[in-house]
Amino acid sequence: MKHLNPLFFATARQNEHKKTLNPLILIKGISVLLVFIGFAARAENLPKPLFKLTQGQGTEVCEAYLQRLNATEFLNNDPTQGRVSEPLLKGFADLKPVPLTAEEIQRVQYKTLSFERFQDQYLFEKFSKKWDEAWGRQSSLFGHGLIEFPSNTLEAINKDIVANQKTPFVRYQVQLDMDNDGIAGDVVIKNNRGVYIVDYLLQHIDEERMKRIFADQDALDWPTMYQFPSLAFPITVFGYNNKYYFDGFFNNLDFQQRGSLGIAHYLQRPYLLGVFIHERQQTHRICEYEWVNTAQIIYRK
Amino acid sequence: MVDSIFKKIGFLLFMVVIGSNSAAALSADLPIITLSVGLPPYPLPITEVPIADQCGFSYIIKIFENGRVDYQGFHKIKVPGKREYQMDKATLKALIKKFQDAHFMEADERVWLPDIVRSHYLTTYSAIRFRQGSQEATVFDNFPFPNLKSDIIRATKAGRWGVNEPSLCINKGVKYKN
Repeated sequence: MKHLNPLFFATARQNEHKKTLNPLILIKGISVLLVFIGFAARAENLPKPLFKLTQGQGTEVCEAYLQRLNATEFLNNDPTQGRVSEPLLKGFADLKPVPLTAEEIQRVQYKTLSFERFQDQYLFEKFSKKWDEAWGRQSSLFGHGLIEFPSNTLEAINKDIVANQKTPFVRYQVQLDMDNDGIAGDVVIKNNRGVYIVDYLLQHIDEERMKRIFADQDALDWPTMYQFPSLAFPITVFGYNNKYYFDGFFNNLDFQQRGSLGIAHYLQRPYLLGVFIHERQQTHRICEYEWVNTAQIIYRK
Repeated sequence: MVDSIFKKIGFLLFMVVIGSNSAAALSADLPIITLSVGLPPYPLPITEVPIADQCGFSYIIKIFENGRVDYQGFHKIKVPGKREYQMDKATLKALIKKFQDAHFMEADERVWLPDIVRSHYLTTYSAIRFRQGSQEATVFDNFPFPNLKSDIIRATKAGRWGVNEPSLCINKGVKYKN
């Protein structure tokens, strides 16, 4: 009774579909594949990034940072992936970065991810605990595709440390004054995703300070905006002539524009990098740079 | 005489400046109830980002302790831009009572699996935040308080800004209503 088996009908329908496959669809599929292969190939062979100062000409820190940017070695020549080395030019402070140990990363990793994603460093851990209570440890969160956080075991972290040797997760030994109020008390750690102000024992993120200094204040008001609305990405901090700044990429597209224009639009859009300063309880973007020698923007999830 | 008046004015201005920068003043500026739908026009960095619902509204309604209502519409909404409204005390009091009666502040305990954590996608549609003193709680997509969103819209008379109307969507050049 093979003809009564629903699987048989399904297979028959598939075969029928194969026979009537529109060659246009095939051509479109191949074209898309070739375009993506092209982008992937170009992404691997990016030229050394070159920046141009587009706003802040004549401002000492903007001019000095331009020189530093153009002398910085970026991972894979992609400034969004991390910095392998930054020259210590005249006027810039040596923040004395030291790599975190695996134990320190384990302590803080989920907090950084949870904070970035939910503005709440404890949410993921609370959620994991409740999940375990309700479903048992055997029933993994990850297996259900509910949330995609990397493994936090020492083994996995040690593997990451080896893989990210060129751009390690670091702590600055110098305490910074990120709000420029004259008191240098900020303990700052940094990975490829950005910087975090933490307590001295690396047990907690100072959420209030992170929001005040690095966040888009209007976006913070929106309860629907549950990710941390960072003003730039990935954030890097630096000190210049006794003041502290941060920088990172930003663009002028809002959510709606990005969504409607799709990937193709921002593959062609130049990256814009800003330098920001937090002073007198306000954050301002004081310098803007354009990454001029990239023909495309690499779409990274 | 004139000198003392100047001193008093100076002191007053000083207090205003200090007051406006103090933490207490900042917390007083925060809305007690916020309803947001969709996402703000936030210049995005290149990172994991939610893609806005292409057919959805984007607006925010903030209600302050003194009854002031701030509305701002951004995306596919009948009335874009800022609008203000002064809610009367009785309506505000009744609205706050609804939040208290619903035990909104305990939402975190009851909704221990917020939709945003369970969701594979980084998007949500609407959210309500309620502040009382130093406490605050946020719930997403009306769960578990299905009526509070419409209570806020009714109390603020936000219907006139088009928040109750279906939003216009554009898909492949064809307009349709969702």
